[in-house]
Amino acid sequence: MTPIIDANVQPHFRYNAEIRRYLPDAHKLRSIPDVEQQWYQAPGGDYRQDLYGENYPGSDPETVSRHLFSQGVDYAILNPLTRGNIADYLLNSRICAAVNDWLLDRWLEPDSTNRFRGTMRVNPEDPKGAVAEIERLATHPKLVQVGVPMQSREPYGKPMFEPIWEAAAAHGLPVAVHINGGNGVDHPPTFAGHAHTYPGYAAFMPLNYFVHLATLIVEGVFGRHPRLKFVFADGGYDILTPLMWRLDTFWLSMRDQTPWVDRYPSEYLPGHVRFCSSAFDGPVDAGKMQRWMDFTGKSDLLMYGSSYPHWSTSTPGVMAEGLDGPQRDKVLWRNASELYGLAVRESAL
Amino acid sequence: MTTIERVESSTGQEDEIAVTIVDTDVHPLPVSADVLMSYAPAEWVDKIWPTGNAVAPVPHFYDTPDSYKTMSLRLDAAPPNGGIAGSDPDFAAKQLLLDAGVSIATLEPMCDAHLPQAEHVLKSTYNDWLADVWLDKYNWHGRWRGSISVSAQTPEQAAREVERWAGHPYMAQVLMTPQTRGIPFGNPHFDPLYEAAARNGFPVATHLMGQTPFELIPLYPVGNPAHWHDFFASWPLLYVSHLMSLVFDGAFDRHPDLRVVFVEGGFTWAMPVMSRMDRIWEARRGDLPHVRRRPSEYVREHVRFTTQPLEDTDTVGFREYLEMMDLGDNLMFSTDYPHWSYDSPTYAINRFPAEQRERIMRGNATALYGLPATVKALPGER
Repeated sequence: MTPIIDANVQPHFRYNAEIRRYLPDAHKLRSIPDVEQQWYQAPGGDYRQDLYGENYPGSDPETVSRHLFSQGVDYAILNPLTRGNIADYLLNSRICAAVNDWLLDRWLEPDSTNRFRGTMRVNPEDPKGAVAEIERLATHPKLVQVGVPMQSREPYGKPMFEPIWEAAAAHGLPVAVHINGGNGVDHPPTFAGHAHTYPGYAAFMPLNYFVHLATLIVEGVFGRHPRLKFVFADGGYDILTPLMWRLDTFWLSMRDQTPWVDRYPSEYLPGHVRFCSSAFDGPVDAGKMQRWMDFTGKSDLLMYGSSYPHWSTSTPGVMAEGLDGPQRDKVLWRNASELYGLAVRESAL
Repeated sequence: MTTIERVESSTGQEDEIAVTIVDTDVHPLPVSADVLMSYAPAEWVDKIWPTGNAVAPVPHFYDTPDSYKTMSLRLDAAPPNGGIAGSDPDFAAKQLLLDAGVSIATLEPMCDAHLPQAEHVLKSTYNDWLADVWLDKYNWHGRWRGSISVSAQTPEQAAREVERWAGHPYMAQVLMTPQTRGIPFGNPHFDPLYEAAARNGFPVATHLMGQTPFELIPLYPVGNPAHWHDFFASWPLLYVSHLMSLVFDGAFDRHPDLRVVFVEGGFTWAMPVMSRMDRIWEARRGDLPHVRRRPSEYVREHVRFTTQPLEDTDTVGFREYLEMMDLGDNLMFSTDYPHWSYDSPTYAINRFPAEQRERIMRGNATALYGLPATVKALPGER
């Protein structure tokens, strides 16, 4: 049986107020948005209907273990949400720390299966605080990456963020970008303004990763930090090929302005960029999947991610439909195994 | 120095030549601000052009290479008789029609203004100028086609502007900025305009207005890049946003005859975006009761894309991608003359799969705009 690493699982608090147990006294009575208090909530709920029950979806480690591990997943990377880019950035940093302490306390330290790995959340709007949080937790063996929101008021290639990425790279931690929960001070989610329907939001929002990616390349961040890796965890890899072609097209002309970009932008991808899969990427016709993945070498960049317990949760079988054998291996476990240094079960091979 | 022969009107004796290449993105400019202003209502002149810079040179928020010198224009497109590139219709005809071999070209003036009334008056002024200069005085050959520029901020006035030009022999389409101040294209705000355009058989084209006197850059959802390079590569996402809105917000259901042309914003993204919309639609049909058909079907029926700037990846792979995308009925060749990132017809044609070439270079535009099969030859053209 093929090993499987699920690179995108969202663990949740049992109830929204649970986070307050992990906040310092000075912040316990602050007003903070709930994870589900989003501008664009899915009608009917953001999470799989069958998971609403005794426990909040994704909140019980036993249940999550049963759902994932009994169905063939070897490792799951937990990538918790925080509460949005809330205006008080110092409070937001405390929220990130509380989420991290909770993740260790509830999920990672009690986990006897040793199959969960975690993401430490940091707040990019507080660069010093984010670096301090990385230094506080970087040596924990089960925290394998740094997590930041997709939402931002400046793209991640801008210089104010660079100390955060530098600290992550210094510890060999990839940076995972994921659409956050909660409710922050954000720009409208599409280039044309606010979406008028939930599908309009859900279809577009993941594609915003490209602006982060383009600026990380053009501002020279990847060039200066050879060990830095970004994971775009909401998918969107399907639009990578056309937009990277466009970025490549004008590279030579633009070198006067950005001489430090010393190779085609797409040449930075293999060493610096990974994606998690999503239910919305890939051709509708699975017969085109192999060729589709070959453009821009996407099968070396993509890692299976279920998005459990989101309503759009996808299974490894559906995700890998149409891929050839080597592509399947890369996407279902090999790329994640290399990125996170996770050795898969011998028996699985 | 080249001299351009000034032809006043058709002799009726010119050869008719077959239309083989239609260029769907060409940028004319008024030869001077004074000329443009002479078409403006007198009471508006001081209000629209407080600094007098209604025509280039203009400062850009995002500058292309050496733009202080080039103004993002082809240096060799500067007319030998003076003026800036794109301001001399006869020289443009020589360079683009005669030398490059374009049969018919669609003109898309770039202009925008912040205040709603100023936007309307400015665009209406451009229409009068375009119709008089390019579509009449310098159009004895009938090979220039025009765009009716309309204000995105005042759709009722835009609809009346469309009506004003209905029946004009050379106005081919409506042109609207995609920088709509936070209102996506599928919003009913635009319904009066769409209705007027569809009723009169005009497609609605949209073109990035990145280099206009009145810069209106869209706010990127995760903040704006610092350089033209990453800014311009991301910019297709503005069209993706508008396209998703048109489909999910039901504009094509409300306006079955509406046709939309996305100019200069890429087109290879249509493959993943169509599939993405189809997947979301399948999963969330309950949220979209008004969207009756599969999203990709709306794109195939209602949307066209122009091809410049063609992406610079290996030709074999690019053709293979276009074959897989299978949008040969929806792509229309364009040069972007006289801008710096011009694609020549000879470069472009080789990039397309053989089976799609004729449609992309000629057929799709001819069908969309109702263009003739032959045009008058220019002096020396065969």
